[in-house]
Amino acid sequence: MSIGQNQKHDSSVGHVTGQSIFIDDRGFLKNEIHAYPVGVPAAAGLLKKIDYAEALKIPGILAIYTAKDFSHNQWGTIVSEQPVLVADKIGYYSEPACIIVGENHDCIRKAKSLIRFDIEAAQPIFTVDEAIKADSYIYKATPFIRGDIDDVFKKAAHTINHVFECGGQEHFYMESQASIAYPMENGQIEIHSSSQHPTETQHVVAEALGLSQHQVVCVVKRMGGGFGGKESQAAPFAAMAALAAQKLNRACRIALTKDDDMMMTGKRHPFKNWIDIAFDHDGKILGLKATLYANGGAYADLSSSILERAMFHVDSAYYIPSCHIEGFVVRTNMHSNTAFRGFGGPQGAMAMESIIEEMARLLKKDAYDIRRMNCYGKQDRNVTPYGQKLENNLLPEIFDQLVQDSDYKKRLHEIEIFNAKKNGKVKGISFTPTKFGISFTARFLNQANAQVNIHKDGTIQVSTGATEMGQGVNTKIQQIVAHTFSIPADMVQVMTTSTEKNHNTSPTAASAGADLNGAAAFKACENLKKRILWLFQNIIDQTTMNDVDECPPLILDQLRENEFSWSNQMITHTPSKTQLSWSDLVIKCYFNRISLGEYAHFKTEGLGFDKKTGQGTPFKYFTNGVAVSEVCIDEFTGECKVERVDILMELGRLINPGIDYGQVTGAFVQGMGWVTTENLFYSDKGQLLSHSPTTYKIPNIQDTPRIFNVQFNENDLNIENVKRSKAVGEPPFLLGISVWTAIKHAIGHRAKEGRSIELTSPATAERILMELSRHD
Amino acid sequence: MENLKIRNTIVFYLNGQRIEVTGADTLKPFAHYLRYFLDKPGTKIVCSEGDCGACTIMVANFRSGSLQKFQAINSCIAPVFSLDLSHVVTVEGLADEQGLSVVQKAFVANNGAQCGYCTPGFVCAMTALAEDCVIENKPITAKKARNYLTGNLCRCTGYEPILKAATSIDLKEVKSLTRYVSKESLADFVSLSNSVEISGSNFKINMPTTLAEAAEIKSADTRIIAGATDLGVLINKDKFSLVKVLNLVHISELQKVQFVDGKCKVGARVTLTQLEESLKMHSPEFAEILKIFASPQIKNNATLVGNVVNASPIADTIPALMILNTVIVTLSKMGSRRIAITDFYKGYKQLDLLPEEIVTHVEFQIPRADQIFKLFKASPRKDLDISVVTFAGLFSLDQKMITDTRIAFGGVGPVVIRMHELEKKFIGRQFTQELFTTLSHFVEKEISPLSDLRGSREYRLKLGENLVKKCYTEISTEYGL
Repeated sequence: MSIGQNQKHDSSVGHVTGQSIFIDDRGFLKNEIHAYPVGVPAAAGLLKKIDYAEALKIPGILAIYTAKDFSHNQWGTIVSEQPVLVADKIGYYSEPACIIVGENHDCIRKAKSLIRFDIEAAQPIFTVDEAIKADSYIYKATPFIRGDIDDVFKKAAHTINHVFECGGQEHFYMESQASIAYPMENGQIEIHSSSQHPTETQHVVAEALGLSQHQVVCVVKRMGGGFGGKESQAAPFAAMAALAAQKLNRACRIALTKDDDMMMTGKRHPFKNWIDIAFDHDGKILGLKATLYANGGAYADLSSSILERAMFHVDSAYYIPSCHIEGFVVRTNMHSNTAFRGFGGPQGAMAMESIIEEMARLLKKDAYDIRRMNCYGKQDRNVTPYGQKLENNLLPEIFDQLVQDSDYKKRLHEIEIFNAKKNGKVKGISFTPTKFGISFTARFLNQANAQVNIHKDGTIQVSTGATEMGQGVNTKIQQIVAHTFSIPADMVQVMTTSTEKNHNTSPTAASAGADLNGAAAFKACENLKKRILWLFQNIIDQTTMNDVDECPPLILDQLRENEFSWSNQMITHTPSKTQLSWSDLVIKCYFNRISLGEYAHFKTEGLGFDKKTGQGTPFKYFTNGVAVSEVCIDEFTGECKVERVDILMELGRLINPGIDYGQVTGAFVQGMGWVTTENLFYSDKGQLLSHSPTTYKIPNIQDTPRIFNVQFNENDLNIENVKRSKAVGEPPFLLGISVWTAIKHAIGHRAKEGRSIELTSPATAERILMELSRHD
Repeated sequence: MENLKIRNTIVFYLNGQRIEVTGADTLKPFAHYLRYFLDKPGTKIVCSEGDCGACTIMVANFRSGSLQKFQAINSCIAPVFSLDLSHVVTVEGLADEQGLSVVQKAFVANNGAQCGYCTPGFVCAMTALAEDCVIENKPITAKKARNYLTGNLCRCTGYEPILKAATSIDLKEVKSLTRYVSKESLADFVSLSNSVEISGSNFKINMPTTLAEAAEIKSADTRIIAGATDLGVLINKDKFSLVKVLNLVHISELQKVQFVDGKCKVGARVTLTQLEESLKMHSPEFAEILKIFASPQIKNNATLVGNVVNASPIADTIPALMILNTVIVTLSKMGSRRIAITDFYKGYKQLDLLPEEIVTHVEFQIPRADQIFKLFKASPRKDLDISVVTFAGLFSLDQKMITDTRIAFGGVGPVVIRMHELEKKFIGRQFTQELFTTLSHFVEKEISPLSDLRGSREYRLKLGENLVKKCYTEISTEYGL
């Protein structure tokens, strides 16, 4: 019974002993060389010439490559429009423009300082407002429309017009982008990459080098963190290493420094959302007008899907009778923004949570009461603006349970008393939910394949397209497989991900890694199980099986699967009480020439969303959760401490509670960082200045809440997903928003009546202090 | 001992194995050397600036004739030569034949590792925590664990599983790293207690054993490297390269903290950890600011003198030193000088220090029991962050009458400044909220902050005003005034 157990992470022993191998930990081949990209020192304009003659003279430098050295210099997941290296038009500051290839780190560093760019600079665009003015767009989405929104706004007792702005976020995966390309026979390339999307990496490398897809294999052992940052953007760096490997026929390694990684790669999208809400005297929402603008940066990347997910989540967890929700991606001269845990969902939901705080101030009500009143219902008020009905909606229950378990009402009262003392500190408390849609909104991505191989000793190797970045997907797959055959988890090994074993895979993203790949592995196991039981049935039925006769082929409708039970490495034929051990049965299968390997393909059923009408069923199900955060602000400095957090997640049946717990705490703290200290700071030329941990502050161990309670609402209701589990990766990220709304709540205690609180995200100490002093 | 030959190799023990390095390799960052030359890739490099802790290793230095305890340092900014005469234990050396160490087991059992990239650093830093708690015979509390792990960033776990791992460690099961310290290795270190000089076509490293030798070596173009916690970063980021280096680690007389006549005299090689320990008794407030100064890994290598000479306007220790009648003591071939800290800073990173001079000591007055001493640091993140504005204040009261005031601000101009005009306005007045509120508005007259990525000019001006107000609130609450 492996499912539901705290099986340890399958790499944990390697991690704590330093034996786990990441890309740059791999031993060097005798001939191995290094490649390193150099970025342009301008955000916009034309790159006229790169002068690298002096750099080439440095001993150890082997080559310097530019855009023209690629067979195909364009890539892009949705629209192929991003150059691997700047060819002429510059997209953003630090955009890679050439690759230095050399024998060692030192000569490359020397060469780098000798490269000169001849640039005809142009006026860059950085912000959403500037882009709107310049009519600079990447994508316009079809609006979600329900009801007569103008009429609702005309008749409503109250309306609020709100502008919500949030900043980007650096992924800050600990292992920066890295790849090693090994040239193989007949011009083939084997690329080892720190990538969430081996298939796309394979394809981008092949195309860039002028190879067919069957000439490239991408291998991913593990990543030192991904968070979305290696979904699309691992590929161009892999192509750079592969180019040098191809041209020089030597293994080539690329491993970015943290500074260059931060400057060259995309981040979470900053958003500016205009959001108007209509509601009655009680606080019941009547209508919503939302116009979302995502800052896509220089290229399309995944921005259109990210914008759409923001639109799908602008309802947060509330029923909105009438609405008009529209969205745009603007093109700017920033790094090309990309996937990041939550994938637009947080930027949509947070706008709604922000305006609810304003509603509460206007109505002089507790914001929680407004949230509870508008929460999606079980029987009615349960259809989203895009027409998807919520099945088995547990939101009302978990709202009620957490408010009680966290002592919310009592603490709110205590905070009001505390704040009235005016002792230099002001506190706030806030409850926010997450209702996160699970599935890729691009339907074709909701497929996976798996290969399960049972060896003669009964141990199993499993290969899927899932990539391990710490989230424990391998461990969950290991548990699903072990559980299916009633064998201990350590008899199952999840193998290195490789496109030669599993091809046409989707990125490990959208929280769906274990859902899709776990389901594919499970399907393969179920098929294997049938063949194995068929043999057992033939033993029971006394079919002649000897050197002359062997087990007949499986006839599915003659298999009496329910006569067999599996427990603790023993398989029992219940009617006859005949038992065979797992290892015995496996070897018997082998000698009867029954295949002990199975490949399965899985696709999520029931998905369909009409992009022309903005209506349909984009998600298989929703993962829900709620959080209460309490903060304390130093009114002299604006510094904010998160004092207590209570989280309740509804994850169906947990495959591995220990791993799920770590996903919840990790996602929450990452979300909290996004809304508080993680401030991306650029020069007026568009150069990222906060490009290392000295200047870009992710939460550290002192920042986490002193009281941090996490509990799960366990249930068996999610029949839609493998083992009735629910996806966990992204949903709890959105709960970090409660820290920001708590800060808003705290400032509200010092704010002038009738004046709105103008707080953007991240709520840095500076922004908090300046907003407090605006109300002085 | 003087007759010993000058040594031209660096010697350390790595997980018990003796390693000798010579030539230009001794200038390499230690983490780099471990990973790419010694085939020990367990130690990770992420930021190359000592700010994430992924490169944390355990080090016991042989100094002043004895081996110090094992402590955590950042190996990405420590040059190989700085590990001379040390026992080094990396993540590869924590387990033994019996299996995982108790810290490693706790990490595995509590899902302390997700992606695993920060894990080697965390496991090493947690080993330091466990070793110290065994030495002090104190339990591992969550608070203590946080303090020891301040210098390690993790992006996956949200730290909760790591804290659970730390607090679940059974201290009785801890096997000390001193198992690596053989008698032979100590005898080896004793036999090597001579000065080091390593040179090549374009560099020269000197590690003398006496101050006189050091003064002889120090020329205008020789750079003194103490803990390399700042210079190591500049080197990694291609902003500085080592040519002539003078390192003072082997000079015994610079390793002491002395308390004489209400003064504290700190040698150039005294680390911030050592200082914090010494000050806990004498000036808890000063010790407190050192606590949030930086990570344990940095403080185990960085020195007070390094912080003073680096002369950053946002250096955390300088405002306090500014109001504690601090004297900078220097030495050169020409002799010794004593310079008041208030005269020491001439402009942005400009010092009253001759190119041949070595700062050997910093001497400051310990706040007396009748003096109220307040230090504040405002930063975007509370811990392990660079300040936006720092404040130091010293108040003497007779009943409620203010008889003496000293105030200094950092982060509000090119150098840390004493607020002489503001100080005068306090003298002779009653200690009241009105006084502090009124005078807080005078701060902006004496400061000239700039805007940068840590904070705007407006924010810094507001902080200047507010920290004076905060001073009143804290003092009145703590002292019941």
